[in-house]
Amino acid sequence: MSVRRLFPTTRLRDLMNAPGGIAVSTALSRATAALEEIRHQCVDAIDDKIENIARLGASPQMHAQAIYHAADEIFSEAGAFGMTEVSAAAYSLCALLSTNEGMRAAEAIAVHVDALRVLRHPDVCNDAARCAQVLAGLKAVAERFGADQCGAC
Amino acid sequence: MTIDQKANVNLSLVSVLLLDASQHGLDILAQIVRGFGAQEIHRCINVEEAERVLKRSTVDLILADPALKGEDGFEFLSWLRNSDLEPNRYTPIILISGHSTPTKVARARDVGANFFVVKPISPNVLLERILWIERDKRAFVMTDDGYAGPDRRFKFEGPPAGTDGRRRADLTTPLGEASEPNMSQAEISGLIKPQRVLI
Repeated sequence: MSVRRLFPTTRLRDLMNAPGGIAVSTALSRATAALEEIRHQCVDAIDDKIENIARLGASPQMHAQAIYHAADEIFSEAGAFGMTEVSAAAYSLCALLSTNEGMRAAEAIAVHVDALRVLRHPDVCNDAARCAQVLAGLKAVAERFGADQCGAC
Repeated sequence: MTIDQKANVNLSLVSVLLLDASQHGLDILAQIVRGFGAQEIHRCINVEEAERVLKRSTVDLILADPALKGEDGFEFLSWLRNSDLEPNRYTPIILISGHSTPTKVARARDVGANFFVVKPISPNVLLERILWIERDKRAFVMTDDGYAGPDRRFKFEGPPAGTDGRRRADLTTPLGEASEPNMSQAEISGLIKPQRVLI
């Protein structure tokens, strides 16, 4: 097998080392503040995505791929806003749908939808013990299908 | 890697392409890089938009989630690395993925991504990776089996088992166990200690 090795010059290093810029601490605090600006719209969208999964899951046809995409988005977006339990539940659904049996398990998907709804409820999301209980239940469900849960740990 | 909080970061002149199938995923990425000081941000929700940007302008950094609706983000990145779009084909790419299976990570490596970051994304992690990529001096490698991208060998652990290796420095025979004991520091110092020379 032949291999060509090149050392092309990219502008990234030069531009990032140009005079000016801001301190790392400032960059991080500005990025965190900028994220907070969109928190409400993203959290509303997470609720919409949970309901979308519920609709898709209740449909007679199985939409495993669409449900997986929606759960993946919830996992990423909820986690970015510190909603770790919602994120973990969405991850569990992704892991479930990655197994051969899980992608056809309508009841297990419905359990995850219910868990996501419960974890968004104000009475539960502020109660660490109840959140942990819900996630433990999901873990047991996902493990029955051999779903890998390590990413949500 | 930990970031020196007092160090400077300058993304004000850097052109960033964001590719994510989720509008809110794009919003999150855009807000973070804007907070870092980036001003030229191309937001792309599908491969078609990303291709249009890459054919039209020079991009210095790509942040992409390969999980695109109805499209294969990995195929797109492989296309870019093997394209004739210079200098964009060499642009550093950070793949950012949600549910990340080992298969996805391996594919990310094999389509020429510079780094793979698992979502949920935080400003701290993303900045760490951008700073790492800026300092990364790996060669851009093209092989005749279709790989184009940064050298995938981060550390040199010798040729794969059962092969002689392709590098000139690769040893073709096993080294075996050491036949003599290691020298102590005192013995080494005794050997190379400067001696007074009388003239």
